[in-house]
Amino acid sequence: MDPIILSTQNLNFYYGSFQALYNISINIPEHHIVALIGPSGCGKSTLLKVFNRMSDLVSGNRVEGHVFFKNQDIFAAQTDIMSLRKRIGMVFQQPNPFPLSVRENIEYGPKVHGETNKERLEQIVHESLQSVMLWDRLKDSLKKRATELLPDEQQRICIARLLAVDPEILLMDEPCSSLDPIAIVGIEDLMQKLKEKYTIVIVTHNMQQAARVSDLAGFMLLGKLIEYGATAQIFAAPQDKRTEDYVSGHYG
Amino acid sequence: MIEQEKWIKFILMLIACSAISALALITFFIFWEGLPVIWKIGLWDFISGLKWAPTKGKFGILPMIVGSFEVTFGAMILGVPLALLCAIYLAEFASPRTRNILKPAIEVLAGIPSVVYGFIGMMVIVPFLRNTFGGSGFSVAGCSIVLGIMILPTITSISFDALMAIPRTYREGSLALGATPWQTVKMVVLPAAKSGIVAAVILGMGRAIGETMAVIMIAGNSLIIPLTPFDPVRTLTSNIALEMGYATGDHRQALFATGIILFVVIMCLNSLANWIANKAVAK
Ligand SMILES: Nc1ncnc2c1ncn2[C@@H]1O[C@H](COP(=O)(O)OP(=O)(O)OP(=O)(O)O)[C@@H](O)[C@H]1O
Ligand SMILES: [Mg+2]
Repeated sequence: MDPIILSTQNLNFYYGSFQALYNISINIPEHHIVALIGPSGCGKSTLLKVFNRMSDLVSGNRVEGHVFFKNQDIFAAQTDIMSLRKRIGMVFQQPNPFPLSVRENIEYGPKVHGETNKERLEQIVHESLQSVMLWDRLKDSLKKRATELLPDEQQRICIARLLAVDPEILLMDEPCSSLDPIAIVGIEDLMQKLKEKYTIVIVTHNMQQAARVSDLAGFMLLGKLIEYGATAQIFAAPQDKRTEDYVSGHYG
Repeated sequence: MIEQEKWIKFILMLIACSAISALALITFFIFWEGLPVIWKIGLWDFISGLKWAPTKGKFGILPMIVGSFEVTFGAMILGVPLALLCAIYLAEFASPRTRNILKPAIEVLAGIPSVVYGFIGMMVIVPFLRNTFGGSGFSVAGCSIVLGIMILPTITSISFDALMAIPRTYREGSLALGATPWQTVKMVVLPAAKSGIVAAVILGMGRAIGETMAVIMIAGNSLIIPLTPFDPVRTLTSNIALEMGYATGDHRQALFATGIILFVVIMCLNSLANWIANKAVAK
């Protein structure tokens, strides 16, 4: 078994007085793709946001329990949130490249973290675009505004911009929901390739997608993690009745 | 019902037309009154002439053009950074509660009559300048300080709107990469809001050039080209306001001609602001 890179213990999360996560305990092994599935509003995005403390941005949020990243409690007082987010990056549902050039988008992360060497930046831009298979298409138009690209190119830019800061975990919140089927296949292939270097946690509404790309899957319902295990088992032989109902399409 | 709608539409159109035609009339009137004297003196001599002596038939407005630009420039130097920092604080860092208190407070500043600003300038800033730097205190610097404060609300509230219009997703994208909030503002939000901010600055500049009453009270109004910030100054607007009451003949026309120059400058600034704002929308 690969080492656990990210885990939670009895995690409760509140938006003000509303409890969005109940007692979540989950172990995420390195170099795996973990899919979080479940009906709308069950807390998938919330859990993902807790992983890199983007949940801090919501006023009135409250956390109980523990989240460990490589055995460090990320909610401990001495945690450097900026470097935590550098190591645990996030891709959003709507592609959100900055309204800057392609090059500036990729260079953004490294610059923010203090990289000033021109050649090094050049190299990072090249490698990152290469990793998301955009280099050949964009190498002559690095000055183009990233917001003017096709949606799936924009999403790839967002992934590339993340890879540029050399993270360890990629959190993806429904990264394909605004893409067409062909683009989705492309992003899924990309994820398989990225798995070799990174750990990926993906939230998806698309059962087929979860079944196709993930190694492990967690089913959530009303803020609880109902069942978590090997994807094949979750889909073929779920232990819990509710999981079975969901994966066979009985929920929304 | 439909009949009534038609009437309402018609009346609204009439009102709109009369507003626009009033504007057209004013424009026409200024040009009608002012152009002949420009024609007589020559445009170049008019705007590059150093001497304004209406009784001797000398109409050169260069000192006032320079004065207007100096005063405005000073106001921009003082007002723009302050206004932008205010807008950034309000939009990016203030809690909703603080924002709800400060934003209206800043907007109230825009509603204070300019004579009040002039009065405060005379009572506080002019004596302060006199005691600190010597001279009379009535000066370019005094005008710039007061104008800098007067343009704060304009620039702050328009830049604030421009910043608030930037989608939250850009900020999230940046923070999720481990950028600090300030890095996010500096490297993502400000560049994205650039056109709106530039438009705000230009509108503020228009306001500074056009301001009359407060300036008259603090400027000293002498007819020289001010060489230091502590020299007195007369602006285009104050020239018109100071002399229109008693001017006749060519003198009167020359004041209208001053108005034409002012009109053209402000029109140019406004078109520039619109053009930049439209460019922002197109993107
Ligand atoms: N900022 C917030 N403030 C208060 N409640 C929130 C906030 N964000 C989410 N919630 C609530 O928390 C619960 C979980 O939301 P979350 O976005 O995590 O669900 P989700 O599983 O990602 O749903 P979806 O599939 O629709 O994206 C929902 O009931 C939602 O209404
Ligand atoms: Mg969600």
